[in-house]
Amino acid sequence: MKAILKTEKLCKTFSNEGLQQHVIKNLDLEIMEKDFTVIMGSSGSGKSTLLYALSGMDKPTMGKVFFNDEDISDYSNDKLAVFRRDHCGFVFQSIYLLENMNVLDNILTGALLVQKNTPELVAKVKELLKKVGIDEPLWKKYPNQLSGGECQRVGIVRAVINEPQILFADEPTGALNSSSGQDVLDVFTELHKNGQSIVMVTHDLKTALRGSRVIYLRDGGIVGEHRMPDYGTDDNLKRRESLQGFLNEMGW
Amino acid sequence: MKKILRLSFANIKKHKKETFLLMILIMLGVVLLSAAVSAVTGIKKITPQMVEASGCYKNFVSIRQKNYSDRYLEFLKGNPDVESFDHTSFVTDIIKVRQQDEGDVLTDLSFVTVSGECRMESYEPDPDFATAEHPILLASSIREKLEVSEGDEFTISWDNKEFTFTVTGFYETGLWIYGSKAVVSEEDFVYLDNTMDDRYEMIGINTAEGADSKAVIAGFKAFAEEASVNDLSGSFYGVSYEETVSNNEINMSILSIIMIIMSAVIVIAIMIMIRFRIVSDIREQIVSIGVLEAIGYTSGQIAASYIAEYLLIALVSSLTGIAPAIAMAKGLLRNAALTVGYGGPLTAPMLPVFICTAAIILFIGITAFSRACSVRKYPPVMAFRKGIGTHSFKKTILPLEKTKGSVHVRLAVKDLFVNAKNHIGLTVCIMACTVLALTGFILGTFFGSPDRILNSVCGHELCDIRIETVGDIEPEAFAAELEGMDEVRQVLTPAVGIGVKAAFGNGAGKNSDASYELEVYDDYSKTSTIVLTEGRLPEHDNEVGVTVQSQKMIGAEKGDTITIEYGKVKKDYVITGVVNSAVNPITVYLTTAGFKRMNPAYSPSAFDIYLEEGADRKAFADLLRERYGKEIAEYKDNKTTGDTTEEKIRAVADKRMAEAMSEEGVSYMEYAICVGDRVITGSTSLMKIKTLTFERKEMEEIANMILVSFAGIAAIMMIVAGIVVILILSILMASTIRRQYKELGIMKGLGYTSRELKFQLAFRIVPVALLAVILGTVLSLLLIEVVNAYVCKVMISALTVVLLDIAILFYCFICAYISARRIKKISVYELISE
Repeated sequence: MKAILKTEKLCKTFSNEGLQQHVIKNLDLEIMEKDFTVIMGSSGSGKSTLLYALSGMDKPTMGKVFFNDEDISDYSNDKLAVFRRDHCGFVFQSIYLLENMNVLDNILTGALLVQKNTPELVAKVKELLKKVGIDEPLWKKYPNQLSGGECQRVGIVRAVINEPQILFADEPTGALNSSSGQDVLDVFTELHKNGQSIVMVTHDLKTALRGSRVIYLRDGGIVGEHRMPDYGTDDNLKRRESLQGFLNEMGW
Repeated sequence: MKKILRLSFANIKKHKKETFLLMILIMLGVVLLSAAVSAVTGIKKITPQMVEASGCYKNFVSIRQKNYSDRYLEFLKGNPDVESFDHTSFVTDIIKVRQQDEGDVLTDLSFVTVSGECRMESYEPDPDFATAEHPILLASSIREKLEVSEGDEFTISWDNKEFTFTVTGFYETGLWIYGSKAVVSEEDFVYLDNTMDDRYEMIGINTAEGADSKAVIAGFKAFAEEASVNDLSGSFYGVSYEETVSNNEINMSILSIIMIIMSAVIVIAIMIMIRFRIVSDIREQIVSIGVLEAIGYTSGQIAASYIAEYLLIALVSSLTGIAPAIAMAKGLLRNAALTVGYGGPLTAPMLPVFICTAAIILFIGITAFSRACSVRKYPPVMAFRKGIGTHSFKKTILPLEKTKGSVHVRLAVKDLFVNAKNHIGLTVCIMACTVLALTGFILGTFFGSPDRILNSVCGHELCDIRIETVGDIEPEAFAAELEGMDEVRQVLTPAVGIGVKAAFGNGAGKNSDASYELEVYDDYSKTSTIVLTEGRLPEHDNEVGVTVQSQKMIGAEKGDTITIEYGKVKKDYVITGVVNSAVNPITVYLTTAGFKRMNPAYSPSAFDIYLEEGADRKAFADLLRERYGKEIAEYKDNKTTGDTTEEKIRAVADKRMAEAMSEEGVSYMEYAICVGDRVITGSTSLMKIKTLTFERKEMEEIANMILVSFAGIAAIMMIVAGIVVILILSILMASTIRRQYKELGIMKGLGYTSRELKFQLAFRIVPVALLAVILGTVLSLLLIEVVNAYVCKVMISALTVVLLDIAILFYCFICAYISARRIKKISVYELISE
């Protein structure tokens, strides 16, 4: 497996009324292709900041971010936008569907930027929606007519429709109830099994269990890393124990 | 109250830039509206103020000197409707005044003597006046225009002549119906009288209280025509005080009225922007509104905070606008007063300024109130849910699954339809601005080009050189002789200075008493600057052409038969065509044969000479003088006595002959004078030219004078339209970005670049602007129709209008695109980490 994302001495500092807050400090990290990387840490440890720096949503203060060996840290905002549309998919905790658009339009808004054959694209969207359990009656509905879980599954379809090389997810189940959360995580697991590279931020153990690699952040730096036992060879309990042990070690 | 104001200030602080733009818009509206209304109010007082300050007569009658007789005054003596009257002679011409920077300023100036001026108004002679050499006392109203001061040399030129006065001072003149007025010495007046074309007798009349001054003037005219052996139709001009006041008010108010229209556009823009902003504010702050309601604020208090916010903005910007409004009102009043020759003290009425300011503040308050009340629709829980109104359950408009072509265009048009209601206001604003810009541009370019005026709307034939002849000249032979010269392309023989009356429907038509200038040519196909709007120019002796305005005055159409009266002779003519004439709007056109039906003895005495391309007009004029003698006035005014006895005798003899020819109608003279054994002989064979004028050149100068004001007004209209469009689109874009901050952020997250989103936002207004531009164009063309009906036919090229519309559309798009630059500042990260 080769590294799809790599950081070198990555720093992110926020200034507020003269006060400087160093959120990420000299962080070196490699994200492997087809890996399901989970970033964990306590509140304020810098996990979301790291996710957005990795995904080109935000620019680092210092250091470099390489995507497939290409330095994206000096990209202009517009170039980063093009980078995001071509290579990345995003699933947000707050879902962020466009409230004035129906399900299909929400997905097509991003998809039509990359894929120009509308009929083919629409067929693909419908197929994906069916796959994640959003059936035809819901396609013309507006976000406020759907449940949270349904919305997030629409969000996932929107994120993967352009077949991104990497999918970023920031607490994707944070706003969902337990049952909806599991449905959404099943979708992520399925995607990973099909070879999708995923980077996910979470502080939830059940969510983290779906990953193949767990990175633990504290005060803007990586303090630990854990490779999860593979699905299929190990049962869920074994994975849970393994992760639990790692997190205990990290003082979680 | 304190709580409400705190909320208002917080909102203002949050949207500083938008608030600032709105303040500029309000200030602009206050300045334009207050200044214009104040000026219009003040303008009504100028003429009475002028009469009171100068003690001048109120009603005036002018009669060409050659047609005047003291016998006419019998009508006024002992007339119970006439309180007082007096009369004086004056000469007038459009002259050039030399400026210090060597340029010339064209001005219409009348010259009177000291004694004459004392008869017309309460004028007190200046003691310095009598001692100065060639003194001139000028009306203070032309002081600024001519840039002269006391003691300066004042050099004027006309018809190739030049004279230098010394300015002894300035004075406030009363009413005067022929441009500005200047007082000169008796000797200089005699010189001007001999050399200038137009000498008149001015009769000032004050009517008794309750008397109808128009009827007095009409009676005076009828009496004079009865008493005269001459035809007075072209030389009698009477104007009552009421007409003067009304004409002055119209002339003075044009600019102010245009400003009122412009301010109305701005006020509409303000209303729409405020409504749009409040709606955006409420949508943006809906959760905060819910929170405020939850913690105990009433919806009335929240609505009041919005009203207070806009009242504060209106108050500050209106108060800031008062001082510039007063200054502008003063400027407008001064400008208006100068157009009627008043240079005395003026005060801009303050009350209209305050009333307009208060009205705008009130209007803004009402607008804010009408929108802010919608807060009441959102009780806390509904507000937390961001209002039911933000949830669309309607049918999806323009679904993206049907996208063909650019997704950006699709998204822009989709949003346009979703928010169609919000765009109605924008349509009205852009439409109003289009009307301003398009009307300004069309009128500015049409009347703003000297060539256009001269070649399309002059209504008067412009040759290179026109000579009027004296003495015994056979017109055909003389024209043929001129045409035989190498430099000459063609010679036409027009009639000059003839006035006629015209009536439709047995004299029962409109304005049957009005005097129309008559143009007469043998063959109109050889003329070049008499351009028709419809029909054709007269070809036969029973045909007549009329100008757009003459047609309106007469009340007849093409194909109608009208009666034309010259002297006491009336003949019927059929209207064959309508001529576009901005320069001589009250004119009728006859063929030589047609005119001879009324005046069989008519023989042309003027010759329009058209030179070959490249021929030098001045050199050719010198050649004419060499061949046919100097202009008759030059002989009359010849002050050179010569060195030898013979030269002295010849100069005196020439002067006497010139006087006899120009004043007594003598057609030919010879002299033989014996001095000792020598006989000095001479004749009038070298005195053929009465006047020589460069018609086209002179008209170019007059046209230029008209153009400056037109171009200025057109430029102001276009600038105001441009500023309003920039301001409204800036405010609109800022509000839209604020309202759709989240959506735009999400789209950025999905990979839309700032440039693509800017394009989408700007493209949303394109269909709106297109509709507005089309409606604005239709309205502009209707406005132009009004000009067509009352002034002259404005010829509009469809291509120009289309190109201008495209330019306006492009301008709107660019303004919107630039205004949408704030999108760049939307950070996806900030949005997500909120």
